[in-house]
Amino acid sequence: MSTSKGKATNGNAATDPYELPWVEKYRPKVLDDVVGNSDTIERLKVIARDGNCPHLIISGLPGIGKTTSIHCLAHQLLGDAYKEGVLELNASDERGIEVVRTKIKQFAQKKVTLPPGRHKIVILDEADSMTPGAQQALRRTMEIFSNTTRFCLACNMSNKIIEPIQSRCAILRYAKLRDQEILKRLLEICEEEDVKYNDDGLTALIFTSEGDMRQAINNLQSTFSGFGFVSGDNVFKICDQPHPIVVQAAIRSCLKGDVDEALGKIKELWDQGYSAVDIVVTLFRVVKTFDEVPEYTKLEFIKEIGFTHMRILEGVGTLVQLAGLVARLCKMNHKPELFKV
Amino acid sequence: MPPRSQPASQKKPVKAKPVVAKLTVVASGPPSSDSQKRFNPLTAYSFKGASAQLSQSSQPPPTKKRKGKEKAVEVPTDRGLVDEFILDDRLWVDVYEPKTEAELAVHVRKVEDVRRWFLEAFDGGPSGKLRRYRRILALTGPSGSGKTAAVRLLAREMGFEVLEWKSATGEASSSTWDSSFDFNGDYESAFSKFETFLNRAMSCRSVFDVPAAATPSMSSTSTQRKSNTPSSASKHVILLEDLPNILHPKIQDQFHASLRAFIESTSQLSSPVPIVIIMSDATMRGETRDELLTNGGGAGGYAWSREKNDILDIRTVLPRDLLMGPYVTQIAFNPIAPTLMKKALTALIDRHFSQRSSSSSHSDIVTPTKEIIDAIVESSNGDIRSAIMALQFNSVASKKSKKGKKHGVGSTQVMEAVTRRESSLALFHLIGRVLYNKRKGDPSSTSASAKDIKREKDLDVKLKDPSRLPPHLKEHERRASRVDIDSLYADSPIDSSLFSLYIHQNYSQFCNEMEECDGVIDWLSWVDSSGGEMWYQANPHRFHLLTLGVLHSLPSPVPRRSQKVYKSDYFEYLKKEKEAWDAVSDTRYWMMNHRGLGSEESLSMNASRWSRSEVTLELGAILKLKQQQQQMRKDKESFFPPSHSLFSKLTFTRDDKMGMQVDEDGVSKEEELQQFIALNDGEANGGLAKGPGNGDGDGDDVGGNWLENDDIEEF
Repeated sequence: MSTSKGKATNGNAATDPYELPWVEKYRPKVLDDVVGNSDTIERLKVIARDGNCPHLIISGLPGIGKTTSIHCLAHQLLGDAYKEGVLELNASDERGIEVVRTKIKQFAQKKVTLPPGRHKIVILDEADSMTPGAQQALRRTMEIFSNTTRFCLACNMSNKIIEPIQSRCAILRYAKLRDQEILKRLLEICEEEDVKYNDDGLTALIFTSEGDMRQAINNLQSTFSGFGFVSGDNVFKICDQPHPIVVQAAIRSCLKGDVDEALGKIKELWDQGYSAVDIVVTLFRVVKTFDEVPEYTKLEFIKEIGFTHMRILEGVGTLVQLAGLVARLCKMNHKPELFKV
Repeated sequence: MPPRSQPASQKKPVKAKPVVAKLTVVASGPPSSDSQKRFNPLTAYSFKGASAQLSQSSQPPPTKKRKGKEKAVEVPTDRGLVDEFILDDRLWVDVYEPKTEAELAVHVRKVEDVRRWFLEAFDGGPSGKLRRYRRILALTGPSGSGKTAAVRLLAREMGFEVLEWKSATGEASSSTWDSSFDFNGDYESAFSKFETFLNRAMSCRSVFDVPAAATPSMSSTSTQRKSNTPSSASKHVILLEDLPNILHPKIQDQFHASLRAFIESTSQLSSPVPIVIIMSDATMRGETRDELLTNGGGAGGYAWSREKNDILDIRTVLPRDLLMGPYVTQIAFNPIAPTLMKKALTALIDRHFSQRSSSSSHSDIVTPTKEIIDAIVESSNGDIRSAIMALQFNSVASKKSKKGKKHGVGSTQVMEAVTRRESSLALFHLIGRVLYNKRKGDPSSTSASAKDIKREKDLDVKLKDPSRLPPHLKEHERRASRVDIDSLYADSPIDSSLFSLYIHQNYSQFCNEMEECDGVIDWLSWVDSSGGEMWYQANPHRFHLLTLGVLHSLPSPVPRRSQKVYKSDYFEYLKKEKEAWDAVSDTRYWMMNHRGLGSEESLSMNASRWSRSEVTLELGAILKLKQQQQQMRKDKESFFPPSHSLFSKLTFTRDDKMGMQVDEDGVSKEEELQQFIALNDGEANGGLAKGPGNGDGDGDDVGGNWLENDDIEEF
């Protein structure tokens, strides 16, 4: 949704036309390099070494290394035979019943000479977007050809995968990446690419990425190629997100019950051209991590922000909507008697 | 099975190579019975002796160290080595496919039912007349409940042959077909291939009587598999597991038509071929669309959408008239009971590891501990296939961990990573963390170790006191929470809608006062209503709102009274509801077909005028009365579809006393009997198949779905 707005990778092409997106350039090649989820990765490493990979489902949020780790696994398992030993289909490929019936089956029946304990691998990325019919068709195929072919599925929601397939797979759930893990990776890349940065910039990158490594790296590259220096302000400019400092000020005013000031801050953001969704999303992000807000207020704030978010998504993304939100947030911190007529 | 043998031929040369290089070191010890196996790898697998041999030499993926060792032992016979590695390749699920009934973890009575059906289908049962009616057997049940395994096992035991339909797109066939049928379109032919298969299977049975090698004509159009039972080629069963795309309405109609044709045409034959259809209950977990519609649309639209679900179930596979008719028998399998599964898994491990360690003299092989098996059994939800998968995956992991520390210490962590399905430890930790609502300065629980207490103290120091609320909100003042919501969110193994279901199921045990319950429920409904339809799945606020709201409403500290965390009953009820709706449509169907039936004038009006909700609300009472009347008169004949009691007779149940009720009803239908058995199984299971009602507050309930208080504490 709105979080994906910040992806502006095309920007870097101007500086060096041959430069790969860093996401690709620094995509881990071996499982050792995959960040986060160390327990699960550890287990995958054992499989990569010993072979006999079971059917796998890896589920988790976007940008936490699901596809990357499957690729690493496949590379480490098959080595040079990767080309003929792996069939990869993602949501952009046609994956209806016919494809499952023809393409996948043909691949499964294909003879590929592999070392012992190694199998051909079918990678189904974004498997939750497959229709139930196609999944049904896959079910039996998985079983019949399990001697020669193993399936690795990546998906965001494992409950979108039908039960019979879940039953045939080992299900691995990837947790969200921690801020430190993202930070470490960003620092490595900065080192490698000789990026100038300050702490504020990196914090901003982590804030905007929300645990999505891909987005963090994309934003880093965009900021670097756009400004040459990664500072907080530059990052927010590139990501096109309201600056959390302004939003924080607005929240603080709300806590004090100062409607005018809070409205002023929101108006300021609005005048900069941010859409209502951008503003409300940032409000939520700020509130949920803002220490100064007491627990109960935080709860009520999130409730109000959630409802406003919903209304905005339903189409009423006006300044009035936001002003209404701000007014409600302020009202909470006034004595109820004041509102009695 | 042919596919299994393929890698043998192709891998042989590859394997031989490295062996030659290292060969010099080698000592003696050729596997004893190799010469026997050598000549026919195809049939060798089906013999019992051979299978024992298989499992003996089969290995999980060896570690590097072990690999070298094996080579040393096995090298002398080239063949033995090849076998070794072929077996390596297979999943445990395949390697340890049950060979005898004792190994099958399915409930004995269930197997008996299936066996009796087959006997009747082949020999006509005691009276000899049942044969006509044993045309189609539909096996349903959750995935991994041993349906296919049971059929295969019985085929072996009773000596009949299984012809399985596998949708045909072999390389050879597709290339020939593509060239000749390009203009007709390939799509059409997919189904016509199925029809051809069915037709030939029933009419030209003589073709199959010829040994496998002599049926090239068939294998070019459709692939079929033969189980290797050389003894009797006379008895066949057609197995349909890989169905055509019957979610497509047109294909579905065709499919139904061909099944009807099948029944008609075979009822005259003296020895017809029965069909076995295996259907896994494929519900999508957490079908959120349904929830939405429950909130939104009225009953009518709701039912319709439910009806049109993309879910493949027995009713889409079999047309209703067949399903209700005498030719179709449905046997529903239950999830595997924990006791049975545990037995099966333990046996599997014994076989696997005892033979491994004796053959390789490695004493440090780690067999999975009892705790691990328990955890796997618990988290598998009665799905034995996934349990075996988890076990295999786990054994990979544990071999690694043995190197460093003592194994078993990390067993829970290992399990956590392996089987993070719904009921896993992580989930219970999550729920425990939220529901125990620990706050700064809470006294430590009595069972906590010194280390835990220290950790809590450290945490408290780091926690800042929250800033004050304005005076009018004084009542909402709380101490700082020890719960870090962001990290909970990051580790949450489930999405937040499922999480709210769990909270809903369990919150009441953790509350002291009505007001606290009110608070939790209030927030739960806020959470529900704040998720608009547009972003139901990805609602970013939901988790925070839920967690904060629950934390805020719960008492602090939460009293300890050994609360138990239960699974949500929601899915159980969803299933019941779906069954009830199916019963409604059965009843409507019955009404349409029984108009003008003498004594039933009151019902025999044009049924199409009756909407679903009308049938439920208005007809229900009549049906119920009629049934009671019948019982008074001790009528054995029932006019109505017996399933109507699912909606006409709503009973309040808190426990699985349903079995007795069904008994009292005394509806003399086979289905009812099966239902009865199913329910009894449920009792035997000790909780897994247990219906609703093991809900909150049932302190003395002895199911198996929760973790003890202490487990949650540890984390």
